[in-house]
Amino acid sequence: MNAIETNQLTRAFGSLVAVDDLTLAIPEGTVFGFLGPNGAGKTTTVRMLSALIAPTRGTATVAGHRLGEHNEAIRQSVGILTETPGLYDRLSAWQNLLFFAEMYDLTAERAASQVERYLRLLDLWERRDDKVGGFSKGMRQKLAIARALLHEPKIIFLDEPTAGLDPEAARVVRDFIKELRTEGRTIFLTTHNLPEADELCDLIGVFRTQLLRLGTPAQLRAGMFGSGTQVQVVGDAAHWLETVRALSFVQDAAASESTLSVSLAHPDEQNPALVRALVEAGAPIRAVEPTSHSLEEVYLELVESERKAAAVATK
Amino acid sequence: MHKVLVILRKEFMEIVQQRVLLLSILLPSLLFVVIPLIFLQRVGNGSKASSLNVPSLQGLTLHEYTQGVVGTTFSNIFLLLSMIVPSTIAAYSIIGEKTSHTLEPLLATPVRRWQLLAGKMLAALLPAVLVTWVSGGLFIAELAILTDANVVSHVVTGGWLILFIAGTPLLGLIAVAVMTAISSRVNDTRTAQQLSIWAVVPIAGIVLGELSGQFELTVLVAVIATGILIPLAILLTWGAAQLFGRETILTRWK
Repeated sequence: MNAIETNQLTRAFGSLVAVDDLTLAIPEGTVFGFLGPNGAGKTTTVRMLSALIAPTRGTATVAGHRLGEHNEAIRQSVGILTETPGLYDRLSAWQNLLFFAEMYDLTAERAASQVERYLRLLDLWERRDDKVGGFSKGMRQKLAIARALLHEPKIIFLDEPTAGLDPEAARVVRDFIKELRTEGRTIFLTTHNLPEADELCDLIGVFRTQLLRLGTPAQLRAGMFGSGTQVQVVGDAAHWLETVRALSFVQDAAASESTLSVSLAHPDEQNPALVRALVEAGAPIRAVEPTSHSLEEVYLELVESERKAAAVATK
Repeated sequence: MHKVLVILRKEFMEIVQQRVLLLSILLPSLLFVVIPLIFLQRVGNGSKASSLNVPSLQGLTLHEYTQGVVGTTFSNIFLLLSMIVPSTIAAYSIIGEKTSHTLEPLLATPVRRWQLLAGKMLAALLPAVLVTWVSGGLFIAELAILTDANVVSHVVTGGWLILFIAGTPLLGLIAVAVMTAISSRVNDTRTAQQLSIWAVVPIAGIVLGELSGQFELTVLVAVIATGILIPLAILLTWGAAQLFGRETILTRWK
Protein backbone atom coordinates (compact mmCIF):
# COMPACT_ATOMS: atom_id res chain seq x y z
CA MET A 1 0.00 0.00 0.00
CA ASN A 2 1.18 3.50 -0.77
CA ALA A 3 1.67 5.99 2.05
CA ILE A 4 1.59 8.92 -0.34
CA GLU A 5 0.04 9.10 -3.79
CA THR A 6 -0.19 12.22 -5.91
CA ASN A 7 -1.77 12.67 -9.28
CA GLN A 8 -0.87 15.73 -11.36
CA LEU A 9 -0.47 17.75 -8.19
CA THR A 10 0.11 21.37 -9.14
CA ARG A 11 0.50 24.58 -7.20
CA ALA A 12 0.80 28.03 -8.70
CA PHE A 13 1.30 31.37 -6.99
CA GLY A 14 -0.20 33.82 -9.47
CA SER A 15 1.60 33.20 -12.72
CA LEU A 16 4.47 31.36 -11.03
CA VAL A 17 4.09 27.59 -11.08
CA ALA A 18 5.97 26.18 -8.09
CA VAL A 19 4.92 22.53 -8.49
CA ASP A 20 3.82 21.23 -11.85
CA ASP A 21 2.01 17.95 -12.51
CA LEU A 22 3.62 15.92 -9.75
CA THR A 23 2.57 12.30 -10.00
CA LEU A 24 4.16 10.09 -7.42
CA ALA A 25 3.60 6.95 -5.38
CA ILE A 26 5.58 6.28 -2.22
CA PRO A 27 5.07 2.83 -0.66
CA GLU A 28 4.61 2.52 3.10
CA GLY A 29 7.82 2.16 5.07
CA THR A 30 9.93 3.86 2.41
CA VAL A 31 12.54 6.51 3.02
CA PHE A 32 11.89 8.81 0.09
CA GLY A 33 14.53 11.37 -0.83
CA PHE A 34 13.17 14.48 -2.50
CA LEU A 35 16.11 16.19 -4.15
CA GLY A 36 16.19 19.46 -5.99
CA PRO A 37 17.90 22.84 -6.09
CA ASN A 38 16.79 25.80 -3.98
CA GLY A 39 13.48 27.19 -5.21
CA ALA A 40 12.58 23.92 -6.93
CA GLY A 41 9.24 23.69 -5.12
CA LYS A 42 10.20 21.08 -2.51
CA THR A 43 8.84 23.03 0.46
CA THR A 44 5.64 23.84 -1.42
CA THR A 45 5.21 20.12 -2.10
CA VAL A 46 5.74 19.25 1.56
CA ARG A 47 3.28 21.96 2.60
CA MET A 48 0.66 20.59 0.21
CA LEU A 49 1.16 17.01 1.35
CA SER A 50 0.91 18.00 5.00
CA ALA A 51 -2.35 19.85 4.29
CA LEU A 52 -0.92 23.27 5.06
CA ILE A 53 -1.69 24.77 1.67
CA ALA A 54 -4.08 23.63 -1.01
CA PRO A 55 -3.07 22.49 -4.48
CA THR A 56 -4.21 24.55 -7.44
CA ARG A 57 -4.90 21.36 -9.37
CA GLY A 58 -4.49 17.62 -9.01
CA THR A 59 -5.18 15.18 -6.20
CA ALA A 60 -3.27 13.49 -3.43
CA THR A 61 -3.84 10.81 -0.84
CA VAL A 62 -1.73 10.93 2.29
CA ALA A 63 -1.88 8.09 4.83
CA GLY A 64 -5.09 6.96 3.16
CA HIS A 65 -6.78 10.37 3.49
CA ARG A 66 -7.77 12.50 0.52
CA LEU A 67 -6.12 15.91 0.48
CA GLY A 68 -8.74 18.65 0.59
CA GLU A 69 -11.38 16.35 2.06
CA HIS A 70 -9.79 15.02 5.25
CA ASN A 71 -7.12 17.60 5.97
CA GLU A 72 -7.42 17.31 9.72
CA ALA A 73 -6.92 13.55 9.53
CA ILE A 74 -3.83 14.14 7.38
CA ARG A 75 -2.40 16.57 9.92
CA GLN A 76 -3.02 14.00 12.63
CA SER A 77 -1.23 11.30 10.60
CA VAL A 78 1.90 13.20 9.63
CA GLY A 79 4.77 14.74 11.54
CA ILE A 80 6.74 17.59 10.09
CA LEU A 81 10.23 18.93 10.69
CA THR A 82 10.30 22.35 9.09
CA GLU A 83 13.39 23.92 7.57
CA THR A 84 14.01 25.97 10.72
CA PRO A 85 13.29 24.14 14.00
CA GLY A 86 10.77 26.80 15.14
CA LEU A 87 10.81 26.37 18.91
CA TYR A 88 9.63 28.61 21.71
CA ASP A 89 12.94 29.89 23.07
CA ARG A 90 11.55 31.13 26.37
CA LEU A 91 10.01 27.79 27.22
CA SER A 92 11.86 24.69 28.37
CA ALA A 93 12.33 21.58 26.23
CA TRP A 94 9.65 19.86 28.32
CA GLN A 95 7.18 22.76 27.95
CA ASN A 96 7.78 22.98 24.20
CA LEU A 97 7.08 19.30 23.62
CA LEU A 98 4.18 19.11 26.04
CA PHE A 99 2.47 22.00 24.26
CA PHE A 100 2.73 20.28 20.88
CA ALA A 101 1.75 16.89 22.29
CA GLU A 102 -1.48 18.43 23.53
CA MET A 103 -2.02 20.19 20.22
CA TYR A 104 -1.88 16.72 18.65
CA ASP A 105 -4.75 15.65 20.92
CA LEU A 106 -2.71 13.44 23.23
CA THR A 107 -4.20 13.07 26.70
CA ALA A 108 -2.24 14.75 29.49
CA GLU A 109 -0.91 11.41 30.71
CA ARG A 110 0.10 10.14 27.28
CA ALA A 111 1.55 13.52 26.36
CA ALA A 112 3.83 13.43 29.39
CA SER A 113 4.95 9.86 28.71
CA GLN A 114 5.63 10.56 25.02
CA VAL A 115 7.57 13.72 25.84
CA GLU A 116 9.69 11.77 28.32
CA ARG A 117 10.21 8.93 25.83
CA TYR A 118 11.52 11.17 23.06
CA LEU A 119 13.58 13.41 25.33
CA ARG A 120 15.32 10.28 26.61
CA LEU A 121 15.66 8.74 23.13
CA LEU A 122 17.29 11.88 21.77
CA ASP A 123 19.49 12.38 24.79
CA LEU A 124 17.83 15.58 25.96
CA TRP A 125 16.29 14.32 29.19
CA GLU A 126 18.91 15.93 31.42
CA ARG A 127 18.21 19.30 29.80
CA ARG A 128 14.43 19.03 29.90
CA ASP A 129 13.93 21.99 32.25
CA ASP A 130 16.36 24.31 30.43
CA LYS A 131 15.06 27.04 28.20
CA VAL A 132 15.39 26.12 24.55
CA GLY A 133 16.93 29.53 23.77
CA GLY A 134 20.17 28.25 25.32
CA PHE A 135 20.30 25.05 23.24
CA SER A 136 22.88 24.36 20.54
CA LYS A 137 21.75 23.99 16.93
CA GLY A 138 22.04 20.21 17.14
CA MET A 139 19.96 20.05 20.32
CA ARG A 140 17.31 22.29 18.79
CA GLN A 141 17.14 20.08 15.73
CA LYS A 142 16.79 16.96 17.86
CA LEU A 143 14.02 18.63 19.84
CA ALA A 144 12.23 19.59 16.63
CA ILE A 145 12.49 15.98 15.42
CA ALA A 146 11.07 14.81 18.74
CA ARG A 147 8.19 17.24 18.28
CA ALA A 148 7.43 15.75 14.86
CA LEU A 149 7.21 12.26 16.39
CA LEU A 150 5.25 12.84 19.60
CA HIS A 151 1.94 11.67 18.15
CA GLU A 152 3.58 8.65 16.47
CA PRO A 153 2.76 9.68 12.90
CA LYS A 154 2.79 7.14 10.08
CA ILE A 155 4.45 9.62 7.74
CA ILE A 156 7.23 12.02 8.66
CA PHE A 157 8.31 14.96 6.54
CA LEU A 158 11.88 16.00 7.27
CA ASP A 159 13.03 19.19 5.59
CA GLU A 160 16.83 19.37 5.59
CA PRO A 161 17.19 17.53 8.91
CA THR A 162 20.98 17.77 9.09
CA ALA A 163 21.49 21.20 7.50
CA GLY A 164 23.95 23.27 9.49
CA LEU A 165 24.72 20.55 12.02
CA ASP A 166 28.24 19.52 12.96
CA PRO A 167 29.26 16.03 11.73
CA GLU A 168 28.63 14.40 15.10
CA ALA A 169 25.13 15.86 15.48
CA ALA A 170 24.36 15.04 11.84
CA ARG A 171 25.38 11.44 12.46
CA VAL A 172 23.06 11.20 15.48
CA VAL A 173 20.16 12.52 13.38
CA ARG A 174 20.95 10.15 10.49
CA ASP A 175 21.13 7.17 12.85
CA PHE A 176 17.81 8.20 14.31
CA ILE A 177 16.25 8.33 10.83
CA LYS A 178 17.56 4.81 10.20
CA GLU A 179 15.93 3.72 13.43
CA LEU A 180 12.63 5.25 12.33
CA ARG A 181 12.87 3.27 9.11
CA THR A 182 13.13 0.05 11.04
CA GLU A 183 9.85 0.97 12.76
CA GLY A 184 8.15 0.88 9.36
CA ARG A 185 7.38 4.57 9.12
CA THR A 186 7.39 6.40 5.82
CA ILE A 187 9.90 9.21 5.70
CA PHE A 188 9.76 12.01 3.16
CA LEU A 189 13.20 13.55 3.27
CA THR A 190 14.15 16.74 1.45
CA THR A 191 17.86 17.33 1.46
CA HIS A 192 20.76 18.89 -0.40
CA ASN A 193 23.10 16.42 1.21
CA LEU A 194 23.42 13.82 -1.56
CA PRO A 195 25.67 11.32 0.24
CA GLU A 196 23.09 11.43 3.03
CA ALA A 197 20.28 10.71 0.57
CA ASP A 198 22.34 7.89 -0.89
CA GLU A 199 22.88 6.43 2.56
CA LEU A 200 19.31 6.74 3.82
CA CYS A 201 16.88 6.60 0.94
CA ASP A 202 15.17 3.61 -0.68
CA LEU A 203 13.57 5.75 -3.35
CA ILE A 204 14.64 9.10 -4.75
CA GLY A 205 12.81 11.75 -6.72
CA VAL A 206 14.82 14.46 -8.43
CA PHE A 207 12.61 17.49 -8.67
CA ARG A 208 12.71 20.90 -10.21
CA THR A 209 9.13 22.22 -10.47
CA GLN A 210 8.47 18.90 -12.20
CA LEU A 211 9.57 15.43 -11.25
CA LEU A 212 12.66 14.85 -13.38
CA ARG A 213 13.42 11.30 -12.35
CA LEU A 214 12.16 8.72 -9.87
CA GLY A 215 13.83 5.50 -8.83
CA THR A 216 16.06 3.72 -6.37
CA PRO A 217 19.59 5.13 -6.14
CA ALA A 218 20.84 2.14 -8.19
CA GLN A 219 18.17 2.67 -10.85
CA LEU A 220 19.04 6.34 -11.13
CA ARG A 221 22.72 5.55 -11.57
CA ALA A 222 22.05 2.90 -14.20
CA GLY A 223 19.52 5.09 -15.97
CA MET A 224 21.87 8.01 -16.14
CA PHE A 225 25.25 6.47 -16.77
CA GLY A 226 24.40 2.91 -17.66
CA SER A 227 25.98 -0.04 -15.90
CA GLY A 228 29.47 -1.31 -16.33
CA THR A 229 32.72 -2.63 -14.99
CA GLN A 230 36.08 -1.10 -14.26
CA VAL A 231 39.17 -3.22 -14.82
CA GLN A 232 42.44 -2.17 -13.24
CA VAL A 233 45.51 -3.44 -15.06
CA VAL A 234 49.24 -3.10 -14.55
CA GLY A 235 50.52 -0.50 -17.01
CA ASP A 236 48.68 1.44 -19.68
CA ALA A 237 45.08 0.30 -20.05
CA ALA A 238 44.80 1.71 -23.59
CA HIS A 239 46.88 -1.30 -24.71
CA TRP A 240 43.88 -3.61 -24.06
CA LEU A 241 41.17 -1.36 -25.46
CA GLU A 242 40.89 -3.14 -28.81
CA THR A 243 40.61 -6.56 -27.13
CA VAL A 244 37.65 -5.32 -25.11
CA ARG A 245 35.94 -3.52 -27.99
CA ALA A 246 36.13 -6.69 -30.07
CA LEU A 247 33.69 -8.39 -27.67
CA SER A 248 30.18 -8.29 -29.11
CA PHE A 249 28.41 -7.62 -25.79
CA VAL A 250 30.54 -4.57 -24.90
CA GLN A 251 28.53 -1.39 -25.50
CA ASP A 252 31.42 1.03 -25.03
CA ALA A 253 34.89 1.09 -23.56
CA ALA A 254 37.36 3.79 -22.54
CA ALA A 255 40.83 3.79 -21.04
CA SER A 256 42.34 6.18 -18.56
CA GLU A 257 45.86 5.47 -17.25
CA SER A 258 45.63 1.95 -15.79
CA THR A 259 41.80 1.76 -15.76
CA LEU A 260 39.53 0.30 -18.40
CA SER A 261 35.90 1.46 -18.12
CA VAL A 262 33.59 -0.94 -19.89
CA SER A 263 29.86 -0.34 -20.43
CA LEU A 264 27.82 -3.52 -20.19
CA ALA A 265 24.09 -4.17 -20.30
CA HIS A 266 24.30 -7.03 -17.76
CA PRO A 267 27.60 -6.82 -15.91
CA ASP A 268 26.86 -9.74 -13.57
CA GLU A 269 26.43 -12.10 -16.52
CA GLN A 270 29.03 -10.60 -18.85
CA ASN A 271 31.91 -9.97 -16.47
CA PRO A 272 33.27 -13.59 -16.62
CA ALA A 273 33.56 -13.46 -20.42
CA LEU A 274 35.16 -10.01 -20.28
CA VAL A 275 37.76 -11.11 -17.71
CA ARG A 276 38.43 -14.36 -19.62
CA ALA A 277 39.07 -12.44 -22.88
CA LEU A 278 41.46 -10.05 -21.17
CA VAL A 279 43.37 -12.86 -19.40
CA GLU A 280 43.64 -14.84 -22.65
CA ALA A 281 45.03 -11.73 -24.34
CA GLY A 282 47.63 -11.51 -21.57
CA ALA A 283 46.31 -8.51 -19.69
CA PRO A 284 47.84 -8.28 -16.15
CA ILE A 285 44.59 -7.68 -14.21
CA ARG A 286 44.91 -6.14 -10.74
CA ALA A 287 41.24 -5.67 -9.86
CA VAL A 288 37.72 -5.83 -11.28
CA GLU A 289 34.90 -3.76 -9.78
CA PRO A 290 31.53 -2.36 -10.81
CA THR A 291 31.54 1.14 -12.20
CA SER A 292 30.28 3.45 -9.51
CA HIS A 293 28.81 6.91 -9.89
CA SER A 294 27.89 8.92 -6.88
CA LEU A 295 24.34 10.15 -6.45
CA GLU A 296 25.82 13.62 -6.66
CA GLU A 297 27.01 12.94 -10.22
CA VAL A 298 23.57 11.61 -11.13
CA TYR A 299 21.85 14.60 -9.58
CA LEU A 300 24.11 17.20 -11.18
CA GLU A 301 23.81 15.52 -14.56
CA LEU A 302 20.02 15.44 -14.31
CA VAL A 303 19.62 19.01 -13.15
CA GLU A 304 22.09 20.28 -15.72
CA SER A 305 20.44 18.43 -18.62
CA GLU A 306 17.04 19.73 -17.48
CA ARG A 307 18.44 23.27 -17.35
CA LYS A 308 19.78 22.94 -20.88
CA ALA A 309 16.46 21.52 -22.10
CA ALA A 310 14.60 24.42 -20.48
CA ALA A 311 16.97 26.93 -22.10
CA VAL A 312 16.40 25.34 -25.53
CA ALA A 313 12.64 25.37 -24.98
CA THR A 314 12.76 29.08 -24.07
CA LYS A 315 14.64 29.90 -27.30
CA MET B 1 -12.14 24.27 23.64
CA HIS B 2 -9.31 22.21 25.16
CA LYS B 3 -6.87 23.42 22.51
CA VAL B 4 -7.82 27.05 23.14
CA LEU B 5 -6.87 26.51 26.79
CA VAL B 6 -3.62 24.79 25.78
CA ILE B 7 -2.71 27.76 23.59
CA LEU B 8 -3.72 30.19 26.34
CA ARG B 9 -1.53 28.39 28.88
CA LYS B 10 1.44 28.46 26.50
CA GLU B 11 0.89 32.16 25.76
CA PHE B 12 0.75 33.02 29.46
CA MET B 13 3.91 31.00 30.12
CA GLU B 14 5.65 33.06 27.44
CA ILE B 15 4.25 36.38 28.69
CA VAL B 16 5.60 35.90 32.21
CA GLN B 17 9.05 35.14 30.76
CA GLN B 18 9.23 38.50 28.99
CA ARG B 19 10.17 41.32 31.36
CA VAL B 20 9.78 44.07 28.77
CA LEU B 21 6.31 42.87 27.90
CA LEU B 22 5.31 42.58 31.56
CA LEU B 23 6.55 46.11 32.11
CA SER B 24 4.55 47.30 29.10
CA ILE B 25 1.43 45.72 30.58
CA LEU B 26 1.82 46.80 34.19
CA LEU B 27 3.55 50.17 33.98
CA PRO B 28 0.79 52.16 32.19
CA SER B 29 -1.89 50.78 34.51
CA LEU B 30 0.25 51.57 37.54
CA LEU B 31 0.85 55.12 36.30
CA PHE B 32 -2.84 55.67 35.64
CA VAL B 33 -3.53 54.71 39.26
CA VAL B 34 -0.64 56.61 40.89
CA ILE B 35 -0.78 59.89 38.93
CA PRO B 36 -4.43 60.73 39.77
CA LEU B 37 -3.63 59.81 43.37
CA ILE B 38 -1.02 62.58 43.46
CA PHE B 39 -3.18 65.08 41.55
CA LEU B 40 -6.31 64.47 43.61
CA GLN B 41 -4.36 64.96 46.86
CA ARG B 42 -2.60 68.14 45.76
CA VAL B 43 -5.39 69.77 43.78
CA GLY B 44 -6.43 73.26 44.89
CA ASN B 45 -9.20 75.52 43.62
CA GLY B 46 -7.77 75.38 40.10
CA SER B 47 -8.80 78.39 38.10
CA LYS B 48 -7.54 76.76 34.89
CA ALA B 49 -9.66 73.69 35.50
CA SER B 50 -12.70 75.81 36.24
CA SER B 51 -12.37 77.47 32.87
CA LEU B 52 -13.19 74.10 31.27
CA ASN B 53 -16.85 73.55 30.58
CA VAL B 54 -17.45 69.93 31.51
CA PRO B 55 -21.24 69.35 31.41
CA SER B 56 -21.16 66.33 33.73
CA LEU B 57 -19.47 68.36 36.48
CA GLN B 58 -22.02 71.15 36.73
CA GLY B 59 -23.22 71.94 40.24
CA LEU B 60 -19.92 71.21 42.05
CA THR B 61 -17.93 73.64 44.18
CA LEU B 62 -14.73 75.02 42.65
CA HIS B 63 -12.54 72.57 44.62
CA GLU B 64 -14.80 69.63 43.74
CA TYR B 65 -14.96 70.80 40.15
CA THR B 66 -11.17 70.76 39.90
CA GLN B 67 -11.05 67.27 41.37
CA GLY B 68 -13.82 66.30 38.98
CA VAL B 69 -11.80 67.46 35.95
CA VAL B 70 -8.81 65.37 37.12
CA GLY B 71 -11.11 62.41 37.80
CA THR B 72 -12.94 62.65 34.47
CA THR B 73 -9.70 62.91 32.52
CA PHE B 74 -8.21 59.82 34.14
CA SER B 75 -11.45 57.86 34.13
CA ASN B 76 -11.47 58.05 30.34
CA ILE B 77 -7.81 57.08 30.15
CA PHE B 78 -8.83 53.66 31.47
CA LEU B 79 -10.74 53.17 28.25
CA LEU B 80 -7.46 53.81 26.41
CA LEU B 81 -5.71 51.28 28.63
CA SER B 82 -7.99 48.53 27.39
CA MET B 83 -6.61 49.12 23.91
CA ILE B 84 -2.96 49.72 24.71
CA VAL B 85 -2.36 46.54 26.73
CA PRO B 86 -3.88 43.92 24.38
CA SER B 87 -2.28 45.42 21.30
CA THR B 88 1.11 45.19 23.01
CA ILE B 89 0.56 41.54 23.97
CA ALA B 90 -0.80 40.64 20.52
CA ALA B 91 2.18 42.27 18.82
CA TYR B 92 4.66 40.26 20.91
CA SER B 93 2.63 37.08 20.51
CA ILE B 94 2.01 37.09 16.76
CA ILE B 95 5.22 38.74 15.61
CA GLY B 96 7.10 36.56 18.10
CA GLU B 97 5.70 33.45 16.42
CA LYS B 98 6.66 34.83 13.02
CA THR B 99 10.24 35.70 13.87
CA SER B 100 10.89 32.43 15.73
CA HIS B 101 9.33 30.42 12.85
CA THR B 102 7.00 28.59 15.23
CA LEU B 103 3.86 29.26 13.21
CA GLU B 104 4.42 26.55 10.62
CA PRO B 105 4.88 23.67 13.10
CA LEU B 106 1.87 25.00 14.99
CA LEU B 107 -0.23 25.16 11.84
CA ALA B 108 0.87 21.62 10.98
CA THR B 109 -0.99 20.34 14.05
CA PRO B 110 -4.70 19.51 13.78
CA VAL B 111 -5.63 22.86 15.35
CA ARG B 112 -8.58 24.66 13.82
CA ARG B 113 -8.42 28.27 12.70
CA TRP B 114 -10.91 29.47 15.31
CA GLN B 115 -9.05 27.65 18.09
CA LEU B 116 -5.75 29.26 17.18
CA LEU B 117 -7.33 32.69 16.76
CA ALA B 118 -9.35 32.38 19.98
CA GLY B 119 -6.26 31.27 21.92
CA LYS B 120 -4.19 34.14 20.59
CA MET B 121 -6.90 36.76 21.03
CA LEU B 122 -7.90 35.68 24.52
CA ALA B 123 -4.25 35.60 25.60
CA ALA B 124 -4.06 39.29 24.72
CA LEU B 125 -7.55 40.23 25.81
CA LEU B 126 -7.89 38.55 29.22
CA PRO B 127 -4.84 40.16 30.87
CA ALA B 128 -5.83 43.50 29.34
CA VAL B 129 -9.37 43.38 30.70
CA LEU B 130 -8.11 42.19 34.06
CA VAL B 131 -5.49 44.94 34.29
CA THR B 132 -8.00 47.57 33.14
CA TRP B 133 -10.71 46.50 35.58
CA VAL B 134 -8.32 46.11 38.53
CA SER B 135 -6.57 49.45 37.96
CA GLY B 136 -9.93 51.12 37.21
CA GLY B 137 -11.28 49.65 40.44
CA LEU B 138 -8.31 51.04 42.34
CA PHE B 139 -8.90 54.42 40.70
CA ILE B 140 -12.54 54.43 41.83
CA ALA B 141 -11.41 53.46 45.34
CA GLU B 142 -8.88 56.27 45.57
CA LEU B 143 -11.46 58.69 44.16
CA ALA B 144 -13.89 57.58 46.88
CA ILE B 145 -11.24 58.00 49.59
CA LEU B 146 -9.77 61.32 48.47
CA THR B 147 -12.84 63.19 47.20
CA ASP B 148 -16.38 63.84 48.32
CA ALA B 149 -19.17 61.49 47.34
CA ASN B 150 -20.47 64.36 45.20
CA VAL B 151 -17.34 64.23 43.03
CA VAL B 152 -17.43 60.42 42.79
CA SER B 153 -21.00 60.44 41.56
CA HIS B 154 -20.13 63.06 38.94
CA VAL B 155 -17.07 61.15 37.66
CA VAL B 156 -18.20 57.54 38.01
CA THR B 157 -21.40 58.03 36.09
CA GLY B 158 -23.70 55.37 34.71
CA GLY B 159 -22.46 56.14 31.23
CA TRP B 160 -18.82 55.75 32.20
CA LEU B 161 -19.52 52.49 34.07
CA ILE B 162 -21.26 51.01 31.03
CA LEU B 163 -18.26 51.82 28.84
CA PHE B 164 -15.82 50.71 31.52
CA ILE B 165 -17.47 47.32 32.05
CA ALA B 166 -18.99 46.50 28.66
CA GLY B 167 -16.95 48.72 26.37
CA THR B 168 -13.41 47.87 27.48
CA PRO B 169 -13.52 44.18 26.40
CA LEU B 170 -14.91 45.32 23.04
CA LEU B 171 -12.23 47.99 22.68
CA GLY B 172 -9.63 45.37 23.61
CA LEU B 173 -10.99 43.00 20.99
CA ILE B 174 -10.87 45.75 18.38
CA ALA B 175 -7.27 46.52 19.33
CA VAL B 176 -6.28 42.83 19.05
CA ALA B 177 -7.98 42.49 15.66
CA VAL B 178 -6.24 45.62 14.37
CA MET B 179 -2.91 44.37 15.73
CA THR B 180 -3.45 40.98 14.06
CA ALA B 181 -3.89 42.73 10.73
CA ILE B 182 -0.81 44.87 11.29
CA SER B 183 1.26 41.90 12.52
CA SER B 184 0.56 40.04 9.30
CA ARG B 185 2.39 42.75 7.39
CA VAL B 186 5.29 43.78 9.62
CA ASN B 187 8.07 41.86 11.32
CA ASP B 188 8.97 43.87 14.38
CA THR B 189 6.93 44.73 17.42
CA ARG B 190 7.92 48.40 17.56
CA THR B 191 6.65 49.10 14.05
CA ALA B 192 3.43 47.22 14.82
CA GLN B 193 2.87 49.23 17.99
CA GLN B 194 3.59 52.51 16.22
CA LEU B 195 0.99 51.67 13.59
CA SER B 196 -1.58 50.49 16.11
CA ILE B 197 -1.41 53.75 18.02
CA TRP B 198 -3.85 55.15 15.46
CA ALA B 199 -6.52 52.80 16.79
CA VAL B 200 -6.63 54.71 20.10
CA VAL B 201 -7.20 58.10 18.45
CA PRO B 202 -11.03 57.79 18.54
CA ILE B 203 -10.87 57.15 22.30
CA ALA B 204 -8.58 60.15 22.77
CA GLY B 205 -11.27 62.07 20.90
CA ILE B 206 -13.86 61.02 23.50
CA VAL B 207 -11.63 62.33 26.32
CA LEU B 208 -11.02 65.65 24.60
CA GLY B 209 -14.63 65.95 23.46
CA GLU B 210 -15.96 65.51 26.99
CA LEU B 211 -13.42 67.88 28.55
CA SER B 212 -14.10 70.56 25.95
CA GLY B 213 -17.82 70.37 26.65
CA GLN B 214 -18.73 68.96 23.24
CA PHE B 215 -20.80 66.17 24.74
CA GLU B 216 -21.63 64.44 27.99
CA LEU B 217 -21.01 60.73 28.49
CA THR B 218 -24.58 59.92 29.52
CA VAL B 219 -26.04 56.42 29.79
CA LEU B 220 -27.65 56.87 26.38
CA VAL B 221 -24.36 57.93 24.78
CA ALA B 222 -22.59 54.94 26.40
CA VAL B 223 -25.29 52.49 25.24
CA ILE B 224 -25.11 53.87 21.69
CA ALA B 225 -21.30 53.73 21.76
CA THR B 226 -21.40 50.11 22.99
CA GLY B 227 -23.97 49.33 20.31
CA ILE B 228 -21.55 50.65 17.69
CA LEU B 229 -18.56 48.82 19.22
CA ILE B 230 -20.27 45.39 19.13
CA PRO B 231 -20.65 45.11 15.32
CA LEU B 232 -17.31 46.85 14.83
CA ALA B 233 -15.57 44.29 17.07
CA ILE B 234 -17.36 41.43 15.29
CA LEU B 235 -16.44 42.81 11.87
CA LEU B 236 -12.79 43.34 12.76
CA THR B 237 -12.54 39.92 14.44
CA TRP B 238 -13.98 38.35 11.29
CA GLY B 239 -11.35 40.23 9.28
CA ALA B 240 -8.62 38.96 11.60
CA ALA B 241 -9.98 35.41 11.22
CA GLN B 242 -9.61 35.72 7.44
CA LEU B 243 -5.96 36.59 7.94
CA PHE B 244 -5.47 33.60 10.22
CA GLY B 245 -6.04 30.87 7.65
CA ARG B 246 -3.14 28.45 7.16
CA GLU B 247 -2.84 29.27 3.49
CA THR B 248 -2.87 33.02 4.12
CA ILE B 249 -0.31 32.86 6.91
CA LEU B 250 2.11 30.69 4.93
CA THR B 251 1.78 32.34 1.56
CA ARG B 252 0.71 35.94 2.11
CA TRP B 253 2.05 37.07 5.46
CA LYS B 254 5.32 38.96 5.21
